[in-house]
Amino acid sequence: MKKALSLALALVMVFALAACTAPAAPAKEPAQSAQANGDQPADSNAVPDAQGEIIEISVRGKPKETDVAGKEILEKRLNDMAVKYPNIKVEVVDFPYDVNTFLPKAAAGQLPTLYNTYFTEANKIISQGFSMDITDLMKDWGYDSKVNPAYLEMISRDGRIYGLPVSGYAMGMWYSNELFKQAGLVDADGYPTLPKNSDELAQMAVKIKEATGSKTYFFPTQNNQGGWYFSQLAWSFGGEFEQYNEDGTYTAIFNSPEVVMALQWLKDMRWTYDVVQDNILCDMTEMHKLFAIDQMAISQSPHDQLNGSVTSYNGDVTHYAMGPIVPGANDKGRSVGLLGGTFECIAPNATYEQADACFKWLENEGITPNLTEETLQSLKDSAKVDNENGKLVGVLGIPTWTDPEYLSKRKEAIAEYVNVDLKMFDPYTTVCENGEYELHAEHPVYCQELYKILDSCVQAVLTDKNADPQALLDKAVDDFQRDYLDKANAGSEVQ
Amino acid sequence: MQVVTRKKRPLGKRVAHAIRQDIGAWVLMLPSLIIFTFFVWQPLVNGLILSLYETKGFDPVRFVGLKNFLDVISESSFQSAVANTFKYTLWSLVLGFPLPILTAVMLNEVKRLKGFFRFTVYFPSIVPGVAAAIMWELIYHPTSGLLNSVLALFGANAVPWLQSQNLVIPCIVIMMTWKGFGSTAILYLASLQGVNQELYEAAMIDGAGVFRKFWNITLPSISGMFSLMLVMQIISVFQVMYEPLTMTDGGPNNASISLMLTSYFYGFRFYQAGRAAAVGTITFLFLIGLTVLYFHLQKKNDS
Repeated sequence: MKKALSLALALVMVFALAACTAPAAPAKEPAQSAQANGDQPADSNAVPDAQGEIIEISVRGKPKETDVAGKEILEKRLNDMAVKYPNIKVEVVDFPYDVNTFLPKAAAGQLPTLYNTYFTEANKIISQGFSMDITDLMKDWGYDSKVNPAYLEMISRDGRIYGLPVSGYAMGMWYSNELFKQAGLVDADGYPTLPKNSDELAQMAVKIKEATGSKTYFFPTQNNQGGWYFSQLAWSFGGEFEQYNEDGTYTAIFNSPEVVMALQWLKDMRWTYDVVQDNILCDMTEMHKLFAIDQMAISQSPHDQLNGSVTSYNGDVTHYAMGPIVPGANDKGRSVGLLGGTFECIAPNATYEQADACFKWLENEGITPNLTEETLQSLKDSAKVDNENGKLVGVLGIPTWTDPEYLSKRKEAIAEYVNVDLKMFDPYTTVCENGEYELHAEHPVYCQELYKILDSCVQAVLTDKNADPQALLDKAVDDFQRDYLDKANAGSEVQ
Repeated sequence: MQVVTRKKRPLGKRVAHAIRQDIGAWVLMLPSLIIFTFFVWQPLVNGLILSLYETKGFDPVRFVGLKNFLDVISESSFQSAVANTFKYTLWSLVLGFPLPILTAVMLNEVKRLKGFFRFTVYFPSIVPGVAAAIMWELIYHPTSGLLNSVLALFGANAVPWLQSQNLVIPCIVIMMTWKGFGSTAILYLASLQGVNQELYEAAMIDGAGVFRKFWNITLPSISGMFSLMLVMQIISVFQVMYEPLTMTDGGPNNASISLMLTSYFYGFRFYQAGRAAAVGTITFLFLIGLTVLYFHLQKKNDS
């Protein structure tokens, strides 16, 4: 009897366990699994085409529940899509690119058919095969000849294209107009007087600190951002990091006098001028916060990051100004901006028809060089949503499309929703638009790994008064050459 | 004497027989076996296999033998990670091992508000780990942090805490101790309450004082718990990851990077799952080595 009872109990447990762990029907599309979690994706209804087929795609960009304007526009776009392409079923899912969760999602086949990411991630994503080769599609849509070639190069490998660039920026300088005003560093019209080289920048930083009591120069050191920022700083002193040799190999060269000078300048900002933020171990989110509460005056960042400061920390849009990167005060100093931005990727397991449907959706969103009345309206709608959500509207970076008419038409379309004094950003936007700004691509090999190593160098000079920039960079060059470049040169490594 | 030789039955039949004999027990164990197989043993074996392959995403694409191991060991940050992991373990033994014992002894002596004190001691354990790490990051903040604000009240200079390459590991270990000592103290308390009270009475009659009773009765009575807690603490602290990830990202200048954080960076920052698995396997081997060494020493001591 006892035995039978235990057997029955055990069987009940096994069934209970099976019920808990048994997977539902395998999710064909990521959006379906999102639905199973109670996270209702927005989607459109579809009817089969002449061949009786429905093309299903899932796309990134689901607005937050609180984003009323965004939800309205999405609803409209889904309806437009259903009218124009009745056989395409679109599911919009919440898929913000996150470096920490991307790999597990990609490996588990949970990528939406269409997702968006940064150029900084291009190497990893393309080499790991997480983005579809869309060369044929780009040609069929005629986009390959209309995209800014500098961007196209960043997402092409061996002549094949793996993404569609949609937004671009060049790194620039951020200034707090409010703190410049308090320190009297403004012109007759009230616009900030910008520094012309790194020496002037240091002097201004000291002056603002004396006038306001705030630390005035921000430099992140974590999450590879220290390396990202430092690369930009070293380029402005005329330094370079990786040298491509004739025999096809790479050599680490970032212990040159120019790069050492840049690191020494950063060290001086911390220990001689004492203007660097107090909390050294932080990333750009700290900068967003400090700028929003008017406790930081100068840093470097792309224009699209302004939204993080304004929306997450309630920054006043009238307190921000931008200019091009300040050149180093040495004979090789130059104003050069890192070229970056975002691009759209198609999941590697998508069919050609699904990828084509994604391009149709992008066109429906206004992401296309073909500015018809409909697509202009779509751009206008996006600007309206951004405006209503408190994001900055009107500051544009490096254009994605090369057609000169595109930019002017786009500017006209969004003009009524511009919510910033564009003159605050003129020094930056003018050089971006007229092609005068020297642009620099990211490091060609082992970019993120190099950033991580540079993070350490930056942390060392900002936390240790006795750190020796030359010694730090000599060691970093040795480590990077041995740990990464030598292996890449030997041809045994996937980058 | 007659020797009876029995013909050995085939393995399959013997297993079937063993299962048939205790069918109820086996069925009861089945859920646990399934859970262990899928959630513990299978990932363990998979990790080991992955560490021997070049990977694409989490998929093994080419067998490379021990190359991943050689690659990670030859990297400069790996030596820092190993040294730091041992530093974490040593500091946690210095700061974190005696504290729960002392707390448990004190809790055991408390006569009033027992429930309140037990809850207070246990409370940090129910705070989510990352939240605790962020809270301590704020406490250690160089200007607005609680610690430096208190120091400023007494006119003392601000201490860089997490930004100091020498202080960062002890600072993180203090946070880990705060977070974890409560649950260990409760285990010690349970063990203390099992000590025979007659021993204390006998010792009192013999004129033993508080420290003598503690040294000669309390400590030997809970020594079994010491061994268990020591091994568990070493195993747990050796795998320290989210605390430095949240508080310092391994900085400053790799001063707080640990083995598991290195593995995390390989896996999720650089998408090199093979190398991440290799670091995981190395950590696993270190832990096995340390545990075997500990039990070997204990056995020697006992004999």
